[in-house]
Amino acid sequence: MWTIFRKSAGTGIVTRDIGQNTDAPGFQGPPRIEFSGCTACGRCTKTCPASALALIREKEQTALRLDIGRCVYCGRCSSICPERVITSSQRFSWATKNYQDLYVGGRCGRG
Amino acid sequence: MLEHNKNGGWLQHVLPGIGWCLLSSPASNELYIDVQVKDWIKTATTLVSKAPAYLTTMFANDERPLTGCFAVYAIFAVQDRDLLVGVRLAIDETQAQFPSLTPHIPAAHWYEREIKDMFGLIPVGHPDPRRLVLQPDWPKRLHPLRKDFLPQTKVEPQQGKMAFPMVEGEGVFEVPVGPIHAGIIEPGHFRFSVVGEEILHLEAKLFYTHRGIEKMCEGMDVQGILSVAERICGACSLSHATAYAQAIERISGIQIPQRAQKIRSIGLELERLYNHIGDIGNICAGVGFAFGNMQLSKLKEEVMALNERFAGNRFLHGVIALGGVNTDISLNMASDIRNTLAMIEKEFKKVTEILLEQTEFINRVENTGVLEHEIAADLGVVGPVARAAGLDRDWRRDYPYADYAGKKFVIPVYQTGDVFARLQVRIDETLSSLELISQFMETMPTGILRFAIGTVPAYQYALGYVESPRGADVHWVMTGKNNTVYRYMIRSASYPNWPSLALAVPGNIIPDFPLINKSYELCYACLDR
Repeated sequence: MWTIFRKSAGTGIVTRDIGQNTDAPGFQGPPRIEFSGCTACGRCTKTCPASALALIREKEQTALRLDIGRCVYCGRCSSICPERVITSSQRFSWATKNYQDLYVGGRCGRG
Repeated sequence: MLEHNKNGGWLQHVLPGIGWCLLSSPASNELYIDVQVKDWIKTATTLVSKAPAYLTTMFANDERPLTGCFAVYAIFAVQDRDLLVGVRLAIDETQAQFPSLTPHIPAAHWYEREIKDMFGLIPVGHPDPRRLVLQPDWPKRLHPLRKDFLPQTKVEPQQGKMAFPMVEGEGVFEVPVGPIHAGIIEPGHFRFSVVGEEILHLEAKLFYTHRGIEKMCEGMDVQGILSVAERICGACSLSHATAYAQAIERISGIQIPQRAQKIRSIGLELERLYNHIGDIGNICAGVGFAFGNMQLSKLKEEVMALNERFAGNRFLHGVIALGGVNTDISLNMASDIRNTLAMIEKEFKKVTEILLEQTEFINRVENTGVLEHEIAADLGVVGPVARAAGLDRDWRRDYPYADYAGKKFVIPVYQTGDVFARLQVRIDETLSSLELISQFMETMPTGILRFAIGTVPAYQYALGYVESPRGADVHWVMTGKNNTVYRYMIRSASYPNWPSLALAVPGNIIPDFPLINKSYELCYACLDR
């Protein structure tokens, strides 16, 4: 009985206060894309197991769009990009009221 | 080649007078033989008694596009020898039946029922041919794993109810529990027949989370399936991913780099750690002992935070690549792992010491939920459940993979088969895992993390297996054309253990059921797929 009480009292509060931090150390989150270097080769869109990446062609411009709601943080896109413009972010906090906020896109600078 | 000849010769000695022919040998410890229907039962029972061996999995394959017939495979794990023997029986479409192994080898029971549901091949002589996988409202004579059943087919639900055995007598009540439970756990339905509080009989209805994973993977790209394998289950993610990768690597005939083997092994032991620590905490929760539950949940959280720093993911997703690993261990990470695990070991020992001093707790767990040794052996249970019932089996030692060959580590075996034994196995294995990780990290070879596997040869097959925290996960892959998979069979550790749970419960009282369930800590998702 006493050993339990002593151990519990000695444990204290274990909740970690992370303040306003939205990144976790070492965490592999959704990709961060440097759109200016993207050639619109489409490799990332084909390798994504969650169909989260899409190339959108409008008139003479092509854009790459990421749907973070579908992303499973697997990192395949960043491994396969031949231009190395995709890296992993460490952000874990993505909750939002508008699904539109989960779309991240940009014009393919070299596509 | 010498190995193959050796095993072939040994098999001649074990199975004389049976007209079997050697089909293939994807690796030196894995070979397949083909038998005629008249020799099917004899081959199986002779392997079990003479080799000796135990049935580890059994499944069917629709090979009609390839050979014109179905095939049933029974895989036997040879004891005292690093060898897995697959026995194949071809089945004609018009016959659509095979002699049931269950009356002779009880461990075959659920495999044969699943084959009947998914392929429509009848195991003749099976004592309990009820539906297992398909829900009661699935139409008759519609078998999803046949190649002519196309994915995405819309199926109309039919009227149907599961037949539960009735226990009759004065004062006998039926208590249904689930599929929606009091806690946030997976869905499963349990039908108790009780007199007062004492349980006379338990029947479980499972397969609520059957997602059709095996069907979904047919025709999928070899690489894409790795992401699926990781997500069969959350808690055995790395084990399943490793088992799948090993099957593909075996078919491709490649040995992955040494450094990758080490990193896989360290990851697999981290997975065992967070599972066991959490499971011991859950056993405490099963008796309402909040102290044990909370202290161990805290330690489990520490391991999962370490997983995130190590692999980028709390469940170790993304570590495995076909041909190696994606994750490296830097010098800083190695220190992080060492320091974190040193702290965890110290805390774990303190908490479990206090736990084992609590007489009220020991009172609840001793002699509760006893799984008898004979039942455990007959049903082919695996993992901590098996080792707590006197079965000295651990695939890390018996069929070494990754970096386990030649490693010395404690494999605890207890004889009582009760909740207490399953608890003690997990405590001992936690300490053993901590020691193993130190062993792995002692000598980290330099080198690359993965080899490219190229295009996999078509229509080849092999096993991939890992001793997950719950026991051996056994995967079987047959490749198809153009780097796809033709058939993917997943036999998770929970599969053979679930039926034994129903046999460990009668004679106990209802309030002990959550405790017994938690001492097994089986995964519904792994079973259901």
